[in-house]
Amino acid sequence: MIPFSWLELFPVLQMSLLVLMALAGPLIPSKGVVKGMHLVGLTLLTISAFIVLNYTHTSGPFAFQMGGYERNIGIELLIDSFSAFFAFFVLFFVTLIHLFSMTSLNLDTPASQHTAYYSLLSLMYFSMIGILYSNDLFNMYVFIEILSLSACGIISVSRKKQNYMAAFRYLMMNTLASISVMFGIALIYMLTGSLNVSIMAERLVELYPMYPVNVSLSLGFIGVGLAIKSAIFPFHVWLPDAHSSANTSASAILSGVIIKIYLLTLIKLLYRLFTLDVVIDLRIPVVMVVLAGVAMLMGSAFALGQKEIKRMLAYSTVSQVGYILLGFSIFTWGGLVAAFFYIVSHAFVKGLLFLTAGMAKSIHGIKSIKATEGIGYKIPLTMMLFTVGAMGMVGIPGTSGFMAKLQLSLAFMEVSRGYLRSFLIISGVINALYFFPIIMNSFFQEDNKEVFKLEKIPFAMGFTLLMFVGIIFALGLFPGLLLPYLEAAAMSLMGS
Amino acid sequence: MDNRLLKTMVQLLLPFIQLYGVFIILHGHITPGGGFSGGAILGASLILYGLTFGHQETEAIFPEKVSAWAESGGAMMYVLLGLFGLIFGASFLSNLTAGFAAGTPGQILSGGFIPLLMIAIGIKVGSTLMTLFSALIEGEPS
Amino acid sequence: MNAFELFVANIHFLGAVIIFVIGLYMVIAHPNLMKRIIGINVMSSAVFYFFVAIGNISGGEVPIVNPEALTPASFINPLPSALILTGIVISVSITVYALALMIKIYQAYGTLNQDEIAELMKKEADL
Repeated sequence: MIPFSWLELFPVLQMSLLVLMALAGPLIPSKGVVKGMHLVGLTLLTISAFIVLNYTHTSGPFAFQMGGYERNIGIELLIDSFSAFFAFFVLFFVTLIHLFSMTSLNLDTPASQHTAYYSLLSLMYFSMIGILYSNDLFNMYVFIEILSLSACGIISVSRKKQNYMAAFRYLMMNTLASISVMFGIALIYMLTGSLNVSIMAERLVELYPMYPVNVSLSLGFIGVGLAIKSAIFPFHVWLPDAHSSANTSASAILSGVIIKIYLLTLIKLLYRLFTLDVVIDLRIPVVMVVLAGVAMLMGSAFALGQKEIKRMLAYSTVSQVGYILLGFSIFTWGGLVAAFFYIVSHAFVKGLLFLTAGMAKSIHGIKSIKATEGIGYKIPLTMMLFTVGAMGMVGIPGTSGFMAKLQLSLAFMEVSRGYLRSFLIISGVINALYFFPIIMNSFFQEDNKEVFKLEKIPFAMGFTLLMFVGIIFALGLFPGLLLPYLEAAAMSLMGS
Repeated sequence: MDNRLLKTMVQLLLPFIQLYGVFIILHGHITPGGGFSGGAILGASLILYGLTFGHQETEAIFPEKVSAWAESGGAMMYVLLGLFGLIFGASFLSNLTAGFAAGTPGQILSGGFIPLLMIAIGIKVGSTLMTLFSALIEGEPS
Repeated sequence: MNAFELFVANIHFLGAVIIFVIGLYMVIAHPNLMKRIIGINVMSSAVFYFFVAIGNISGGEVPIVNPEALTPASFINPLPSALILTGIVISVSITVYALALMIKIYQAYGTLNQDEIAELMKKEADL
């Protein structure tokens, strides 16, 4: 057996590399060098994350102690199938988006802001994989804070009027949420006297019967904070502005991975910190089912009434968060796997939709749904890719969206709560209702005057879009490629 | 703004304020205070200079380029000090186990790499406060 | 333990919660952006206060190790204070960023009242 122990240094090295890239960016005068550096760095990171993922898959989880202190004093990174898989997923996704942004950024962001944009993105990736790896509650909070600040930053780099207000609203909601999370952490730290999640969970088993108010208050504060950040329905007010006003690549990242990270943090804390017994005792599953159902229906209903394509996609994200939450809310292994599959599938589908809608907006100036009349002849490639995304969203068989919804309904059947599938069906129908007009408008126009002509898509953008389409169909036709990793991830969350 | 009294007083006070900031940074490991507090004092002294003498004058003695290098450099120094531990077979951000000298407790030269970290943080915080101030003056969020 | 003793023993926590609620009211009820930023700061100060109060012992020692150290039991827990230092840094950066955004918003719309800004934005969207 080869001594693989040096692989256990990879997580720290990944995070250091991301910070160093973010810091080195502003010192390099040439923009091309910055872009190239980030591309090379992100590719290396994705490869290393894949190696770490396979390492945890074969030889189990491992922990890394920062500074070599003991667990209850120092900061611990815990790399298991769950965190390793999602770190790999985040890095893989953002590498593809980075490739796209190398061209698209020239179209929708002032040139003076490019370096700052990439530095902010690197900080964002750093905090995302930090949240996933970290097993220390306060450390997690700090990463959450960095993530929300840099996410606000990438909205305001576009230097447009409405972006400032969107960023301000996002910042206010995010800060309220962060303070709420911190209050929750204070309440539970008061009880357990440690910040290591595993140690806290051990102590909570004894402490919960003695101090139920403290634990439930803490769970409430942390839950509300993370719910605001992940845009679960009544707390979604910031999302449409923020996601629709950001530039093309940023909105794909915001919608594709960032809100998912908060959802994953929530489920990780529910399983690892509060443990399943407490969660069920406090009736959290019921709350989650109600919130998820309302989010799925209302998000879709709001999307139906939008006039702008990107705003419609943003509201559709609100409803998709509901699907993922519904998968989590049954608290079984099957539900977790289905929700994880949904997270991956939605990231690529919504990413593709946002990228194509952004291209239509920034290259061809098509913003509103009304303006899509006949554009299937003017920009057929973009609209065809958009159609693939819409198919994935609605859940046409063969796409990853179908497979994700199938997994969800199978998971509901398993716990004999098949009635939850009615949410899936109703929301799916509304989904089809708001994507249908765009596609009809653009391709099947009766008195069409446009001449059919293929438009040119720059190579880097085209490559990313093709990769996305490939992944959507690959996941839809061969879900077995991904499922072993997701099953291991769900298993490691459920614990022994 | 051209107030002679103010300018003279600031010129007189500035060296002492900065000396105090450096003192706080260097004694961070043995007394209360440290990189953040000392850096904040250093940054405040630069802001005071900027408020009295105007933006151009400050730009002349503390150019934006220097500020950018100090900001990135301070934070990079922290990360590199952390990686030092990995090279010497200990954990990330290890102190004594990575081979930093312990020194005598209570003396200036003690505490392993804590003084070095304090200097890194001091540089970073001081220059960042100045950057934030000038960003507010120009109204440029980034 | 009667109610008064309970009140005195938990005075820090009660104070923190009251400040927290005042801050929350400011953030939610005021249409002025500047007031909301102040409210956010008040709220985070309340949480910092709460956090530091957890580690406090009445009449405890400063936790610096020296040769004539007393028993460790009388040390004040330094961890919450160290954590709050991080919290303060984050709070400062959020405030600066929010203020910078606020300046930009004022330059763009000429007002800091959120209701007026929303109206202006609606008018622009209709055009």
